[in-house]
Amino acid sequence: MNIYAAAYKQRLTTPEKAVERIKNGDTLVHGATISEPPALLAAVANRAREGSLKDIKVYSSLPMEYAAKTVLSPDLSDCIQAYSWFVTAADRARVKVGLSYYVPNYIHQIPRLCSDFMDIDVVITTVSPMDKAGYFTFGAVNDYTSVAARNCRTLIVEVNENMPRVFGDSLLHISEVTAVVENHVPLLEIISPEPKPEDEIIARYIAEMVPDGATIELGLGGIPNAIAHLLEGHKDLGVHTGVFVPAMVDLIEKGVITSRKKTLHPRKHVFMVAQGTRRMYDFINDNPSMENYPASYTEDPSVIA
Amino acid sequence: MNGYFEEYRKKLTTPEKAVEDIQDGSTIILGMVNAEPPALLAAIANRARQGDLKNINIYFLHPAEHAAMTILAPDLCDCIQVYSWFVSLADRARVRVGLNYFVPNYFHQIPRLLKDFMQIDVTVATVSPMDKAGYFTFGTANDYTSTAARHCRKLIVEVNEHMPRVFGDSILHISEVDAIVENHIPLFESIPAEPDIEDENIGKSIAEMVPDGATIQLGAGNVPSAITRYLMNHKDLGIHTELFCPSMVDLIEKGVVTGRRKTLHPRKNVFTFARGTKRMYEFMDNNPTMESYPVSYVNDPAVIAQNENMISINSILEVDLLGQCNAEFMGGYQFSGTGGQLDFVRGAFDSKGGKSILAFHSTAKNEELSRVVPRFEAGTVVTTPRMDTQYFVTEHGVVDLKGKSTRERALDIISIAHPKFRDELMREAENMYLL
Repeated sequence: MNIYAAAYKQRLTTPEKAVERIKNGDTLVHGATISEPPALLAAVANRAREGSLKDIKVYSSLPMEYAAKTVLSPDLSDCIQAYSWFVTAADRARVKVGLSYYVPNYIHQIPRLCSDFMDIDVVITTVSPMDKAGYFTFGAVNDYTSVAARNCRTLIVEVNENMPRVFGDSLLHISEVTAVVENHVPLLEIISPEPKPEDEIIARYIAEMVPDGATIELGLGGIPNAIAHLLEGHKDLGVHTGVFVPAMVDLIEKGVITSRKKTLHPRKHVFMVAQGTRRMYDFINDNPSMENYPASYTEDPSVIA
Repeated sequence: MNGYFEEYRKKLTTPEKAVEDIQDGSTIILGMVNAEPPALLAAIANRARQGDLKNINIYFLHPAEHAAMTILAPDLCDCIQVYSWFVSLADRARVRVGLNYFVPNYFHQIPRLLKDFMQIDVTVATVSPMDKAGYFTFGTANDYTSTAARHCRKLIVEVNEHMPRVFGDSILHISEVDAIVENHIPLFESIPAEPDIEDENIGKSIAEMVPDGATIQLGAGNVPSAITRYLMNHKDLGIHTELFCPSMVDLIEKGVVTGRRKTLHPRKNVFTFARGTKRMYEFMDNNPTMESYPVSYVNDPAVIAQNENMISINSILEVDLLGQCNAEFMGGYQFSGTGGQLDFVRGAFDSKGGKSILAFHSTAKNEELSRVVPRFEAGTVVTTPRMDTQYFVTEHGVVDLKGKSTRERALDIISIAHPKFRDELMREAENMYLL
């Protein structure tokens, strides 16, 4: 397997050197949420700040703190035009005043926008460490990141050993990667709010509507958490979800979620992105029941059905 | 995750204890080839030998060494009735004399036979070690083993750390297992023989029929290794195969097989069972591109056909002038089995851009016997009917029978027979009113 290690070494570089490949006028897509690559984003921002990068277009979805502190910094808005597929606290004010442009979309169509309707020059994203077979994985975040990574001219990955190794359609081979940097910072943790009393009431109604053997999708927020607690007496639930959340780990460990009765991908907990706690990321890591797929698959209504 | 290891310890036992409560009259399914669990099989054979087990029915496909040395011992045939879905060296003689019963089948239907047409009491199989998430994997043997394990009253697994950890639909949770034994012995190795000159010629012809970006299936034998040599300059091939074999590892490591242009399971090397060398088992272990699925999926012609440019390559024993072939009978006896040949012949033909190829040496026994025959010996079964056969390849060339008349078929087939048999075959063809 030494050939892969050699290919890795050949591509390994510093964030500064890695982003030297970016040219004026380039369109750049960065990994979403947990896969925002902090070192690469900082290096891009530095180049822009030094005046050596102009007319850059950056596409984000659900931007988080690493994007907020770098490419979304207001002083760079003359060199970097930001586009957002999903607005968050990090870019809400910018979108409101017209500094960032919002791009209406269905999430399941973003991968197709990336492959068929955009001309992506550079993708930067965080991935899990390369394994003996030469594969990184997109880890917690598949959504459009995997498709963008496979449809761009230059792919720069930031390897983070805290990024879980995830199965499904999540593989990236070293031969597909232009440059590699390493940066082992803890992943962002996203803690769901404690359920409010009205969440509990809503959750009770919903839990009663879920039969044993059902496949569930839970979004973010207080209600899903409240629902999860009320499902503990259920049997053989399955997961096919956009977001994988900590409450699901509890249900898996309690044997409530087994995914054995699923009619699509039985025995697999299928998700698009995972956001939560360190404990959840550890649970996901190298767990053969955890599979993620691009949004074009997990969020496709005909697949869901 | 400690809960899983606690459960593991609770279920861990000795082979003797694990097989203790198998009842007289039970139906037992064995894991296939490398998933034959040696310690459990020895324990079952011991119980039978001590007179403590009667009227046992055991089913398997292609029995290997561990079965041969235990439950297939002739002295046990009064207590253990054996049924074979595919005959191997280990049970050929037994099937011939009627000690074993052969069960005709399409390979892809065995999981359904298990689920819907049989009552399985016990399944015994070798699995890879449990991981932190509580999952074993079926390793080299998904085939029917996974379905048997999920549809039996009692599942006993033999954990072997040499069994590779394999992804796909190959995971088995600790909560599904009734008893565990541990036995870490090396897996069988089956080393392909060096291809001879005929294999090389056949391999070269077939490699020319494989376009870049194709998905391939290779059967067992020397021809597949010969083909591999001539595929080294191909690009972006993919694998969707019944059997994963060592020559495929070479193609993956050389970057010839990438799976990137596959239309079903892109980037994944899809198989249902694997047999080969230690190096191959190590390559497979914990490799995220290696995905196994039950044979009911991998060999389902409708699934195979979803791979565009699907090229299936299998071998046969003989073909007659009508274009039907036999891949399983020799000298009037069951020599092997139907296996997945017809599954792949049909699936590849139905694939957009696909081809099904049946390859064979034109002669056998040092050129004494022609494998192209006018008609089969009475009683010989047909593995692939003439309505299904497409390409045939020998060291003398390639023919495509699809859509051809009986006359054209006979002439085509004769054209790839050994030259010294062609005149006689022509005469026979005339006698059969084929020309």
